[in-house]
Amino acid sequence: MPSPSEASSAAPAPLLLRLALRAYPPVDRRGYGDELVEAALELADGRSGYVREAGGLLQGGIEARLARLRLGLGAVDLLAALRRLTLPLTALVTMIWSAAAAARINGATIDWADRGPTAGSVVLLTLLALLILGVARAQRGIATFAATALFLQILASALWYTARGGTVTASPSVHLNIGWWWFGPNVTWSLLPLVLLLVLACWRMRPAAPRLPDVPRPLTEQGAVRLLIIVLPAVLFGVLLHYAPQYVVQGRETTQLPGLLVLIAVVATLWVARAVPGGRERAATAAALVGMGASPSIAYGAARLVLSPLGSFVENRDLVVALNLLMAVLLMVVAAAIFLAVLAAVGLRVIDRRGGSPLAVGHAIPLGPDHTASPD
Amino acid sequence: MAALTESTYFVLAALAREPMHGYGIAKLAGDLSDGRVKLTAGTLYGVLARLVERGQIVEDRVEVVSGRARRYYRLTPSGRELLTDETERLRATAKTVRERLNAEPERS
Repeated sequence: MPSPSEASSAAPAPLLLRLALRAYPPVDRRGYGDELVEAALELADGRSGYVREAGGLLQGGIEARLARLRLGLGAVDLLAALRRLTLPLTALVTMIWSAAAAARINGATIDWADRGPTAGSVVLLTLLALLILGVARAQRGIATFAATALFLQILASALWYTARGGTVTASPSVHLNIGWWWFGPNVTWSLLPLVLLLVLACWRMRPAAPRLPDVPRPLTEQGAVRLLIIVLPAVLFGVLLHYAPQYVVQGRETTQLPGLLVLIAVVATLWVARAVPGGRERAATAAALVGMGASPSIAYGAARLVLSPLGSFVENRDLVVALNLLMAVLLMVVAAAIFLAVLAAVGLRVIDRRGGSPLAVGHAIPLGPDHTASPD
Repeated sequence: MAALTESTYFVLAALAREPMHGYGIAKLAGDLSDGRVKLTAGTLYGVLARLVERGQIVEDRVEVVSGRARRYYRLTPSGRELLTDETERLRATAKTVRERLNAEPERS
């Protein structure tokens, strides 16, 4: 009898089985793919049997992929990755409000232009200052409190948003006008998942190590350096936008800022994830987490981009909005799935480095001349 | 522990006496269950992977027959214990139900 690979070119039924085998992850196909097809060929009785076996291989392949996903996600060190996010996410949040402040000062946004400081803005600035202080000094309690309060305030703004910004708003209505191709969702909704990540990151932040005489602290643990990492990008960004008002326009419901910033993180995610064998799992995991947090932003923006030509053909605006929302949800699921897959891939590489997993049948005994024995 | 699925139970049962390869396990599981359990290769290897992962079966050896490699699996003590426990549970359940079926109907 020919081997499955030989038979596949000759008969359509084994070809069907070979195609169905593609549902399995590559590592499983390499480990026991031939054995699976052999068993399927033996178990199939006639043409209907081949179809049934192909269905079985499809189902088995999907289950094997899900099992690997679970295994990979279980091996990811999320807590360590979260710790890494404290500084960058604080810097990101500070940058967003620094841009809002710049927009307000140069009059690019009318939402806040005609009113004095509101209770909401005072609370916001106080919380932001507390967050920066807590993170810079690695004081977990203060940082977690400020991040949580900030999250709740943003949630309140998102739920009771008005075009005028609202009295308790933490949502500056900033619109970055960097090109016709870029769209983003309401700043509050884009920020929510990222600030939630920040809350978790602050909660898992390592407290500052006690000062020891004659032992210099690592650079990233020095308060002044941490403060600089948070504040400097925000100041630079704010100044840039202040002197380039043409890039900031009044936005009622949309803003591009978080989307743009997290897009950088997304590119970094994919880049870092590719370089994981170098041992940068935590960085890759952190970047994938940010990517997942950014998924709503990216999905909403991409959906608007895809559907924008529809606007000139379809007069029913409600239909366009509904289609936009539907496509955004679909794209969000796709984006989240991609980042989950990145996380699982990172976890599986960690497992591989530790000596592999017993999950896949055939991993324990590699096929080869040393392991074969003649039948009696 | 949750009850085993019928497929898993009969895969373990097929391996109770001696190590077997995939096709043999699927055929014997079908025979032992009076044809109720019809395993495809995909489902069979899914069950085998889970049992290997839980340490209830292990790979025994690989034999090459007519140029084709056949991997044999065998029960571990943990797998044998699981099969025994499940068989005992099924027996006890069947006994309870049989007693109920044979009992006189209660008259209110």
